[in-house]
Amino acid sequence: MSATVIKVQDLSFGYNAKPILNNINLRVNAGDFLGLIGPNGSAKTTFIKLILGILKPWRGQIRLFDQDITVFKRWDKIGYLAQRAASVNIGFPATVEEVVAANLYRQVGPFRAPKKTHWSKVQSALETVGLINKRKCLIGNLSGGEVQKVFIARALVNEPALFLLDEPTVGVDLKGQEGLYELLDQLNKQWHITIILISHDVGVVTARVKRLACLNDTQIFVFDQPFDFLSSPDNLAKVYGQGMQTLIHCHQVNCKGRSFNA
Amino acid sequence: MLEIFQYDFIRHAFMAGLIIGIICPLIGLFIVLKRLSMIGDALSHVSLAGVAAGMLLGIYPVYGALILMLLAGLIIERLRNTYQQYAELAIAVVLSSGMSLAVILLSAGRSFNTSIFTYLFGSILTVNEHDLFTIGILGIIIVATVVFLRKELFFVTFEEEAARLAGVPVTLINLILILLTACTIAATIRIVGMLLTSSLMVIPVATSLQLKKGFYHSLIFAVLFSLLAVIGGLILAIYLNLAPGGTIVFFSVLMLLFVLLMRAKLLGRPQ
Repeated sequence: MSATVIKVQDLSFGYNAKPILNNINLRVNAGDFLGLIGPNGSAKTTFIKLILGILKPWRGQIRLFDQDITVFKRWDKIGYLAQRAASVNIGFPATVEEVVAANLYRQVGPFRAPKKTHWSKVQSALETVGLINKRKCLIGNLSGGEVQKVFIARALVNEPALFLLDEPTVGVDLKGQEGLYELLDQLNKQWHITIILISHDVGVVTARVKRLACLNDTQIFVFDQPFDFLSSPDNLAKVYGQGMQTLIHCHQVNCKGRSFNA
Repeated sequence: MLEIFQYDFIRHAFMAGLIIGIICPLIGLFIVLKRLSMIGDALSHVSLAGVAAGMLLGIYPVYGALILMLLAGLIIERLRNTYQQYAELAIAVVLSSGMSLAVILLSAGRSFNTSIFTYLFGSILTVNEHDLFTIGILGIIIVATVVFLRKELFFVTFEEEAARLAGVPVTLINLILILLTACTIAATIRIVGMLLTSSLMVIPVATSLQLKKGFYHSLIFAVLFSLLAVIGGLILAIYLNLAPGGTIVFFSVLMLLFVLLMRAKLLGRPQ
């Protein structure tokens, strides 16, 4: 059995006394590729921020790599790509390698400059995302898809065991999206990085991920077979409301040998 | 031309000028990129209140300005957290408070005289050894802090949330940046004057950003532009007997215009 990377037990959280997550339970194992979907305001980003320790839960427990989050120190094992990361001030005069190297802060240490070994890690992360030739380019001169790849490289430079991505395809064209999804597949299958991907693109995510979790109305629903979710209109209604019964993206996707319209 | 350096006050002015030519864009780059350009204006208005308080109480006015600006810096950082969606509100509140306090103290002390003008517009004649010593100490503190904390300042300026997750003490770094801004203004007001101090923090940076270089190259170019402006401005002020604040900032604006025109010519349009 794979090691448990994230274990969430009876987690509750809310804003201004209003609960938005209620008694949430979730287990994510090493090597998982979990898609996290749900309508706007269903607390997907909040849930990720609780896992990252940015927000403190009202009740319940979060364990990361078999350690309680309150004593967890190995944050370098977790990579995070924030929502709308590509909308960061791209007029900022920073080169691609300067942005990626910044995330080595814990390894380099305070007051010190990155050494040769750190720069080779930067190079390796940029090679992985296919941007090694653009390492000296200003981040503002890149396309939306390339900027997202820089931020993915920034997360990968610490060689994380868990990678959380919050809507990475927003503002990225179809070709760029395809490249991003292929990269995530590679990271999960070849590098064995556990991935949690938040997205609104239900059809594509369902085809890409190994497991699917849906957040809505303070609850979480987990599907061990993602296509089970799409194949039942009841599931869509449960997560997105009665008004939506089917989602049609007009392209066929293959998932684990089975073919269906997403 | 070199004969002007036989006078102590000219040497003092140039030495002080070279120090502020380095520290103003050094801090300016971070505050411009954090979209806090107006913070220099707010703190320099507070500095006038500090100068007035110093004159009223009979203490060295630059110390009065420094103490009040450090206090104002703490208040701005606190207000910025209170009004997270309207960070510029904190700056507006402190700017108005500083100016009102300055007017009250100046009128209470009947200090509307020529000595206040040297702090408003800068002066070459009045830079003495005590000023030079204070500017030197502040300069060393500022340069050393930026050199030691360059990684942290870069990351916090680029993206606070990612920096926090990477383990950078973001709140502390933000506070240090504001306190360094206060120190920079305290060092600068004797030469450039409080009305134009923030310009020297912003305009060489604006010029440097037009070159579209990486972060550390932008920092070096901003310092070079600033030093050229200070040297050119001081020479002009000496020979034409003008207030140096105006001439220094005028030179830096000319350089910005030149770079903008060159870019427009090279690319066909301004970027």
